[in-house]
Amino acid sequence: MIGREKSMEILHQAMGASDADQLEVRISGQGLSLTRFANSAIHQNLTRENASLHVRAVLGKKIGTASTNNTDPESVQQAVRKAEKLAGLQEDNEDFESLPEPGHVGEICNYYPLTAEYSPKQRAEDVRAIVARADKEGFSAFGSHSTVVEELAVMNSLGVEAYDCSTYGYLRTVIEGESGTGYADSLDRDVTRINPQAVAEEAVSRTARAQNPRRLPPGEYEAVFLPYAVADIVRFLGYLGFRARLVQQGRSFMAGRFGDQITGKKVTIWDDGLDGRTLNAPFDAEGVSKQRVNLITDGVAEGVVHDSFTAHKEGMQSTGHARARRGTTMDMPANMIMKPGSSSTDELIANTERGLLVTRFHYTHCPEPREVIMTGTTRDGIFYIEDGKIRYPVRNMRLTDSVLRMFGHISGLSSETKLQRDWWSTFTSLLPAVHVKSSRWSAATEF
Amino acid sequence: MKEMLEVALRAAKCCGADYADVRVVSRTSEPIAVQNGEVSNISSTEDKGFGIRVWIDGGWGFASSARIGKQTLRQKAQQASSIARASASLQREPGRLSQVEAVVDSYCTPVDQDPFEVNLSERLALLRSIDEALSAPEEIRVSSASMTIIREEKIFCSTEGSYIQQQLTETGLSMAATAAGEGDVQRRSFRDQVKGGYEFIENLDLKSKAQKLSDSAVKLLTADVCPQTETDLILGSSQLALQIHESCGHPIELDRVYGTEASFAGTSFLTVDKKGQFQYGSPHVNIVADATVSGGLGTFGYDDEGVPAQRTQIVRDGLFVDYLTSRETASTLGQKSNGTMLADGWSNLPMIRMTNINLQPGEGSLQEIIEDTERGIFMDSAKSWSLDDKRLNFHFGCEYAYEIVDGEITRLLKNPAYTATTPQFWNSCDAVAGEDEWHIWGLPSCAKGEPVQIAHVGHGAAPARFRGIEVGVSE
Repeated sequence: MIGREKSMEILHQAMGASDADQLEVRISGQGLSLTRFANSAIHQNLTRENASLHVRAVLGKKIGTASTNNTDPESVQQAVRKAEKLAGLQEDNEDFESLPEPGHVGEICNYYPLTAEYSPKQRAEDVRAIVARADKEGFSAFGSHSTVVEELAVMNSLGVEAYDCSTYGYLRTVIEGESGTGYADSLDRDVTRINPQAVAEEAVSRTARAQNPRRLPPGEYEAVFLPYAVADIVRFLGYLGFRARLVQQGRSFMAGRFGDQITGKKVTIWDDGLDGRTLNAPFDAEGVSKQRVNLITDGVAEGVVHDSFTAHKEGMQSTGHARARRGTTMDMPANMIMKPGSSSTDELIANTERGLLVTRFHYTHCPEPREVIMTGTTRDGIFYIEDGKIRYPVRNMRLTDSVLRMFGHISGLSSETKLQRDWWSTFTSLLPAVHVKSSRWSAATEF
Repeated sequence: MKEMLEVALRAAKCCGADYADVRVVSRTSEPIAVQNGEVSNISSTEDKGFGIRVWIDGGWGFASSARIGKQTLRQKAQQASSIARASASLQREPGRLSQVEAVVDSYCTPVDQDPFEVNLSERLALLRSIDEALSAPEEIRVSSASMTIIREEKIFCSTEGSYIQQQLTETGLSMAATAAGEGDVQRRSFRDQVKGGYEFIENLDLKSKAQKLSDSAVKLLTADVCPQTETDLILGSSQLALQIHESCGHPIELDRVYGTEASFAGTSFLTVDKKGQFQYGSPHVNIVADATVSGGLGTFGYDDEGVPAQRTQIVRDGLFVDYLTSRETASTLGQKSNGTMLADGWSNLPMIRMTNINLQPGEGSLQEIIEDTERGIFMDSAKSWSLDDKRLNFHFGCEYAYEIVDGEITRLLKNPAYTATTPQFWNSCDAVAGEDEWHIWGLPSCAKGEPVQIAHVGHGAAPARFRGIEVGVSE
């Protein structure tokens, strides 16, 4: 990685090369080491490292951006010149007011040297532990094990100056039996806190239970969604609703509904990028300190997240939710937390009369964003519950239902929460298991 | 450059590599976008580096860096070798690479007008005019138009003696109009991308397209909702392109079949026992993987294993006959690679990716298919897509639909969707329109792998009809 000192040197160099009215420069770097395994053998194994300099030049109300992954002095200067040139070609963007002003940014220590230095051999040993556990049951193991070092440095001509370096590890596995699969994962800033044996145990026991699934007709069922599945449900709320830009454009389901009851009272979701239980970070892609934003409180639409652009448009300050995207930034939640309940997951199952226990989803989508109708099939373990007991595994099914409607029928949430990434890896959120009294399933698959 | 890359390959050999290849990739892109009259993105991105792949005792290792120099190349070769040894420590069956001829060659995307030579102001002015046309009706809340131009310079060098240089150029355009009113929000969009130059843009009738899109988005606000029923479904070529992508392109990837994407992208119902045996579709269904077709977004000279671009029959008269393969997976079937290993940039491993997966044209026209349909629904333009992890059960939402009664279009319908299972769907196909309405659509957003890689692929299709499909499926 580039390191704080060198990053700041490059950013200062970029600032010095600019004649723009305002300038923002950012270095985002990532070192990724990843081992993939399938059929109980390692088939892909890599390490990669890259860092890019992003320049946003402002001339009056005109903005241009440029980026390069070459940070030698000449390339830095060229990127600044290019951003200025692109800005000069534009007409005024009347909605743009200013880059963000500097504010207090705290330090968070999320860098774990043992994670940064985790070796291919260590990853292979962790995978071996999973394979060994699967072997015992005659199952096959699939999955990936990765460690990541991320670096973000931001500076702007108004005085913003921020640097952060962090790590995380992520281990996931699908265990395959003759007629069913199971899944488990674990994500932590410190890879040494990830327990491969525990991940293997959870996935193997789920796989054992998933064998010989029966077909269940589509229809309306109670459902207990494990946090793996909840992540894909909450993803749509975050991606399609909790964003100021979408509200300003009238596209979010939150638009015109602030203060309204939009889900059941048991639903409280907020975003807090400083909460150490999440993949927290001190500041966003514009160098603005992260703030807590209440999104839905007791089922009532309360707020959305802002970057500086959307905030200034409403005479507000950014909430620290700018996410880098294709050379520019966009407003996006980053650390969603769903308020847990008071039951254990076992109690949620015990309270289910006739329903489904859903491990996770695959490749979900949202045909109707305003009603947040999501559709997607289950995978890696779905089970039929009757009279509070798991009766048998079920062939995978397709959920097609409005998230707002389903969350209007929540009867319980687990007290334990899990740091969970959704299938698409859009968000990493802190989530409980959720029991809904009604969910609508439009089809059943053949496996 | 060749001499420098050979330093890395020699270093890998010294570490015990049975095989190694190194790729240097430089990618320049200039995306510009206009939204609601304002420029929402205007940027220039340059990304360059190399990646080295090493094979030792049946284990792969890969390391990459943005710093191109002899010392780094040597270091990364050693690192990739040590990663390959870690991979080799956990193997079940030794793999083998199918043979490929060593090639010294170069390839360049044919381009009439270099998009990077077209003045940025001119490109911006075009997008502004599109955006203006899109936003004309007062119901339009969001209008947007964007253009992407990409140039990729690639060098491939292997221990088997190949040295291949390629220059690939892409040009793409998208536009969308979102209308709000009557308590509803409706969106219409257009997107296409080619391997080719600015002539692609100039051949599009953009203003007229923009006007049609925004008018359609407005009309959808007051349109009837697509009924839930089982009926004959006619798909336009752009929706069919995505249908081919999701329900044919992905399940024919042989790495998915072998489970190597099981933990993320999923596997495939097209298991190897089905090759040459399985009736994937009706006799109207003929599908090829063609990396050689002019202008296709998935067209190139060589893949990232140095295998030449090819045309492979995938489905012949409905019978499933072949997969997309790599050197390693092809050898398990006793075949040679059909050249589909591609990596997203320099920092990623190559994987089996779609090239241009094309449904071959049939006969007649869309109009004739409609006239031949007693009751049915025409749908086009993808809005949502979701498939299970074996690519069997699917659900697609489209932006718009028309009801067909007694061979005539009777009314516009909104929020259409359809669902089926893949073999049932393709076996219900009883008409594919002819060459005149056949078009290769560029999809620059195919995600696969960990870390996720994005591939730019193409799909040729003409409108087609499917009998007895469940439509209008929502909650």
